Amino acid sequence: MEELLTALLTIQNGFPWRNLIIGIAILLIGQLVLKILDWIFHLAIQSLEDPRKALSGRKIFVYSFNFILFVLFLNLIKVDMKVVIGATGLMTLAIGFAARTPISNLISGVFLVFERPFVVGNIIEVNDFKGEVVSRNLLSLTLRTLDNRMVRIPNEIVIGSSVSNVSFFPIRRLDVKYLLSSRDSLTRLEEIFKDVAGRNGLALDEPVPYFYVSEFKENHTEVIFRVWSTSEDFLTFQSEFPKEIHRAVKASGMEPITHRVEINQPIKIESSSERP
Amino acid sequence: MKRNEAEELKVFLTDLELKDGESFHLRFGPLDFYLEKSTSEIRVRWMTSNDWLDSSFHYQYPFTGMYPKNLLTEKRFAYSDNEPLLQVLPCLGELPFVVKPDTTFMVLPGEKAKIFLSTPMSVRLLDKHSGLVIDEIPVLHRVKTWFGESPTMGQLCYFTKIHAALIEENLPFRPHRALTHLYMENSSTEPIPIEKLKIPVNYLTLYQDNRGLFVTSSLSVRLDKNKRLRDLKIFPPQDTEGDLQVVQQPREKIPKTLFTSTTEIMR
Repeated sequence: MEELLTALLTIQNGFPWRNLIIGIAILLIGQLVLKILDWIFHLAIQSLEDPRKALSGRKIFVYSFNFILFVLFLNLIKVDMKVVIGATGLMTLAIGFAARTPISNLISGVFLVFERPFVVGNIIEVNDFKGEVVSRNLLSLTLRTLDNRMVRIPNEIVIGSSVSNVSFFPIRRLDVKYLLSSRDSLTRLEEIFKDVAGRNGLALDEPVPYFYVSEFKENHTEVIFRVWSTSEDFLTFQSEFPKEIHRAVKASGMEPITHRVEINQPIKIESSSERP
Repeated sequence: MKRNEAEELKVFLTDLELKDGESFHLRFGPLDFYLEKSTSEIRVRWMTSNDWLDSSFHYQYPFTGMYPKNLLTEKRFAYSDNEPLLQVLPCLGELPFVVKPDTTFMVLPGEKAKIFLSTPMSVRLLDKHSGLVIDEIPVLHRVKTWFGESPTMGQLCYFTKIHAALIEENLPFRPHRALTHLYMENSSTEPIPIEKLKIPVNYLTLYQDNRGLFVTSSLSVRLDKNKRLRDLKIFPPQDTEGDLQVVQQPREKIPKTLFTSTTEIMR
């Protein structure tokens, strides 16, 4: 700190007022140039398929440009850069202790930029939050959840958690679990499932839908039907397809099982004349 | 419509100078397409049946009949200063088409085959002044499918049944489908069955020939002795009658390596 004060006193003694005015002018012109460049950048990214993807790049550019302007300004007013760098080192150490979390987030953000496990617009699941990536910044990630909440997740948490990206592949599989009564026909149920999938405009014919028995139980059979749809249409498909299955099964005369208990042995209740 | 009446299809290349309040109706295979222009507005209405064999073609301009309004899907487009010069043209889809020949056929070992395929088209409404594509309506109801070795390796495509023939005259004529020539050379020692084929229509040019028929760029495929894909080329169609007029440029630029394995194009 003493070094910094000495440097400031040196500035006061032989202060280069002319350079200060030039420096301020450069800062102002720099800001104007930055506005123009930002405007050109904004126009350029409009032609991209998803302009939001370029926003992180824009922020890095703006910060770098401002940093260069600031260094230029200090240089013009003849601030000894060695002293500044030395003082900055000390301050960085102090700030480093105070700002461990933001720095950790910043470094995690840099790793995420290189790793690219998702991009803006993808639907991801981090911890208990599932939603669309709205922005990916140096410190945090912003998600719009499916019930329309905005969630800010620090990059440190993202890098240390399992991230499930549901938009990464263009297709997704829906597993429909169904309980079939032992009295009903498995073959008939398979036909119904495949017929519904064939008529549904969002179900893909390839990969081929797959029907299998997952478990035989005392009074029912558990079956699973695996059917694919595009990731784009998946939410609609996930909501509509089970309803169509349910309607088709009911129309065929089969009864879907809920939690039914069948009592096969009549219970004999003996009455006693003796009372306690 | 029959093949020798294809001359009528040249109507597509004419401009539609619709006045305010006038309409246009086009029946293009299973698609019924209506266009209505009023002050500052264009209305597009359409419906499509699932009859992929429908080969009807007729149009009425200006249209004076009644719309089956309840059955039609409708879109409205507004404009103010620049009155558009409308044009209705066929075009190829934005995703590759997976086509399944009605009967699987084989290319014998050491043989070359020229296969005629009928590629589905859409109808595109555009403003000829600005070149702006206003809308595109598929002629057939399209179903998406996945074409690839696994759910992680492949591509989303549209799926349709088609006719495939080794002589052009044997290919049933459908005005709403373009003719694609596929040249296949089998250098392996076994017959190659073609059950499904991916036509990368997004890289193909659509032409109209002198007879009025729509033709796409041709494809050639060569499979080596190990049934590996060796060459896949896209080039302007040969053996066509007279000059070809370009109706639609390819949607995407052809990459240097279009496909690298056999499973990316056929099964």
